[in-house]
Amino acid sequence: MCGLVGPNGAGKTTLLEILATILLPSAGRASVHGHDVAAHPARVRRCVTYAPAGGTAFFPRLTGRQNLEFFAALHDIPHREWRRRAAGAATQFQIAYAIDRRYSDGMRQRLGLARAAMSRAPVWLLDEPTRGLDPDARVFTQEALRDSARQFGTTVLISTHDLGEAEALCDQVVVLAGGRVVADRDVAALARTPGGLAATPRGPLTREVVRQGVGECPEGRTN
Amino acid sequence: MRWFAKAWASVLKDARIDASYRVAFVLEAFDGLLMLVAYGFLAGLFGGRVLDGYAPLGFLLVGVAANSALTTALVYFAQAVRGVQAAGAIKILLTTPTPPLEIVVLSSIYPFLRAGVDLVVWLSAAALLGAPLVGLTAGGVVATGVVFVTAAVAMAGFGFLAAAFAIVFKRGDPIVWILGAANMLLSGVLYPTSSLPTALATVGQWLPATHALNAMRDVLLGGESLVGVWPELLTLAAFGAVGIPLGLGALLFAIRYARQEGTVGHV
Repeated sequence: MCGLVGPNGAGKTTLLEILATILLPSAGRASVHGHDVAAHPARVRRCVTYAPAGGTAFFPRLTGRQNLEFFAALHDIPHREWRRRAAGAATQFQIAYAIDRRYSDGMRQRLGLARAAMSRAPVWLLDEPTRGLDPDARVFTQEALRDSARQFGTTVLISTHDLGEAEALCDQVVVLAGGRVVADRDVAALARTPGGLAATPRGPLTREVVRQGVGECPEGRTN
Repeated sequence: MRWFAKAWASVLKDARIDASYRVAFVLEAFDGLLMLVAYGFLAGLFGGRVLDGYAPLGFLLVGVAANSALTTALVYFAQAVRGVQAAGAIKILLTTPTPPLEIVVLSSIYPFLRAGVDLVVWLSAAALLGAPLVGLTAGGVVATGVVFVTAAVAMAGFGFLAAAFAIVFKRGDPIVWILGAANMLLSGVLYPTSSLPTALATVGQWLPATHALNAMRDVLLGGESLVGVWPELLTLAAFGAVGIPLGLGALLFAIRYARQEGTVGHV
């Protein structure tokens, strides 16, 4: 799992959307699983699934199950598996009890993650996957993400403002500023540093991220 | 097989969304029936005159029913595209393994099915109001179905063009509006195109609705078979053969433009 951190406007969502083939890069190259996102978007779409921040991108007049089953069809999942996959993904993110309802914002966020899980794509692109979740939901959502990554060998790229979350969830953390990578850290190495990521402001942006106190800080640290 | 599963999922999704707007559904049906009754009264003003060889009541009611059904198809298709944009789902749709053009084609199925149902309901109401639908035989129903499907294919290019416009400009729907107004004025919905000035009648020949209405009236009011309306069917097929590639080309351009400008998710 890889975390993208950086202040607002750093380019986290833009990078995720380029990798998801929603946006075309204006310069440079990007590839997923060896497929260039601009030249071969169809091949890239077979490898990725994307969950935007805030649980948007659903049909609000449909229930959770109806949304998931529709997207199951677009993900080329066989018809006989739509219901089972939708129910399984909903269970994984603890929204199965309400799958036949229309959803609140927080639940839509988890529904977006369930949709990603249902696709079983090898690469998940998740924009602030725990934004707007209550503390309990945040914990089990992080656990569900970790479990999915382990179970299916999925590569997960998440953007977050929360350095603690990046540290807890990710193996690698990339710091962005002004659309550029200004730091790329192995979390295991950081963990050996007293104070972890939040106390290791090696690059200018990491210092800035820490100085601005973006996100929450675990273990009572002030960031 | 997987394509049919996707088509089924798409139709189910759109039907569920449509059915969730119950008040709008009832009001639309009521509005349509009121309009038919109003045109029924209007037909009485023509007395014993004939319009293009047909009794005024049949001429008006078949014209209004067919035109309204075709307009419904375009309006619903444009609404489906706008709905996807407004819900923010367009971003996710573009990241699934299903190609964007296929998604658009899938999205056009329900609007045309819905328009077909509208046509059946409206023609039934026209028959109840006394329109002399001599073509309502088994063969006539099949012929009407073929005419409608061919007309829908002929209109599809305009639908894709409207979708392209919505993706680039987000608001406003000039394609559907212009086509709806042009159909009403020039395609012979309320009066024969022969009563138009020559220049306008010539422009009317470039509208698929003109040929769809001619064929529909010939089948339903004149009892013509498919063989009898083949020139109109051929013209409609030609509209489709030219319009659909153009519309899909415009749509591809629009999607690429929105991806380049970063406006895919804008509403």
